[in-house]
Amino acid sequence: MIMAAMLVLMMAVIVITGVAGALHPSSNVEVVEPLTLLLGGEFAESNLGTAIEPDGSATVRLIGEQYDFVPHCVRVPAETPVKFRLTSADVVHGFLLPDTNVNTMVVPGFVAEVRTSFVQPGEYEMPCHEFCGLGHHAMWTRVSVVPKDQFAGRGPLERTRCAKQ
Amino acid sequence: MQNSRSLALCHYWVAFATFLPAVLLGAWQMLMRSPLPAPLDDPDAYYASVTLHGTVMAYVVTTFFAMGFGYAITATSLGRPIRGAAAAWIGFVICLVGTLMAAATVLAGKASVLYTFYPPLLASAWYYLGAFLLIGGSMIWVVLMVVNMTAWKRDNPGRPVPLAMFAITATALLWAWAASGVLIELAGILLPRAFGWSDLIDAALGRTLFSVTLHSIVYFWLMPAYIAFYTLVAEAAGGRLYSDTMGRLTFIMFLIFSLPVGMHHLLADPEHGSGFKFVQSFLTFLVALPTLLTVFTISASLEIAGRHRGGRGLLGGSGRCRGTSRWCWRSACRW
Repeated sequence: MIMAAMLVLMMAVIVITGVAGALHPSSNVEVVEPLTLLLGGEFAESNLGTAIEPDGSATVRLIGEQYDFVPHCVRVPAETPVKFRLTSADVVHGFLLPDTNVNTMVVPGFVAEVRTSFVQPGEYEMPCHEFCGLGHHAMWTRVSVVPKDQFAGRGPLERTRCAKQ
Repeated sequence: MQNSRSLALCHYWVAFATFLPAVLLGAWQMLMRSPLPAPLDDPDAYYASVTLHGTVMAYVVTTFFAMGFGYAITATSLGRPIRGAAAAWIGFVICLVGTLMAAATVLAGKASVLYTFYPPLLASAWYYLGAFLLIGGSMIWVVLMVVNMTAWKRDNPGRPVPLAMFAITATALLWAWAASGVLIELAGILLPRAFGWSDLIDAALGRTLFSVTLHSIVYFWLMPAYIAFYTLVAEAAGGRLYSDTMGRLTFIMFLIFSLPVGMHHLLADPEHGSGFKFVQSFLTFLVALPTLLTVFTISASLEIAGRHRGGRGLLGGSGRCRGTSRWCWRSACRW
């Protein structure tokens, strides 16, 4: 009896935290050719950063490589559905935004897709969280979340990226 | 019997001789990551140290301890010398050569990829070869456990195999299955790449194969502890095991449920779909069953010991806990 109750309780905790935290790790199983990423297609350099879709949602495309995410900083609007699409040009990296539901591995050969929506504007630090080589501990990126109305007023380049040029 | 005893002792010597330096490396790594001053602040040395620490703790200590424990259990529970002692010594030497090869490569700074390998990161072929010899060499031990159990069954028809021998054989089979992932990854992906026979690494396949081994390593060192709980603790406390069948059931369940358990380390990976992840999450969760069975059986066994020593009332068995544990200590020392 006690054993069954414990099992049910533990399972309930897992399901409730998963649903309440909207944890939906990347499970899209979408392949991409890592050797020719930058030569064209979705992950060509001009296509990276934030793009606003016709329905008003945002799509952020990032490439992980030793030892940075490209672009180094992306700007997204708050209170808007945001879809991150990430892949790697070399080894396995990890993408995690603290205090959000965003957490995925970035595996070469696959596109990892995670969806979120930022309530609080602010700077979100993003340390790479999978060992990727001797410079792993220095691999940091930022996601800058700005209020929705301020986002629209910015110029095209400023809207998509926020690294100092 | 003398040969069986030195076989077990030699394995323990390697396990504990490597355990101590690995502990010190762990302490230094903690200093490196803390605001406290660390004696040597160098990222190259840090990752080499983490690799050596992981390799020793996950592979060397675990494998040598479990093998030594297995030989000791075989000799004591069956009450006769180990069959195939010569093969056991050969296995010991292969594992030792593999350990030294891997350790030397890491110390030379040629393999700072951590014990989990993280392909497409690439280390020197010597490191992978060392790991392959160490893990592959332990398969001789797996075969010997099965051989010793079946030989005893043949010589003692109609008698049940002692629980300790039954459990260590289940542990050996668990390790054979668990190690298959990393062995295939080493032989099929990493060694060919490190030797230059192939020039691409399938990172997702490597991660998936490694996940078979990754979490089950925990059970490889947990099982000897469970065997001690089931077969030594109850006796040392002055009671008896509450249920022999529960023990056997636990080890069979661990053998089955350890098969898919490593998959939960890939839940945040993009190369597996949500349906597969969902099923694997529940399979992973089933490990709770043998764990809870063990908690119940061991608590019941200790309560039997407590009551046997005069404990009364609802919590009498454990209520006399202090007295009981003093008794436990004395019995354990005598044992």
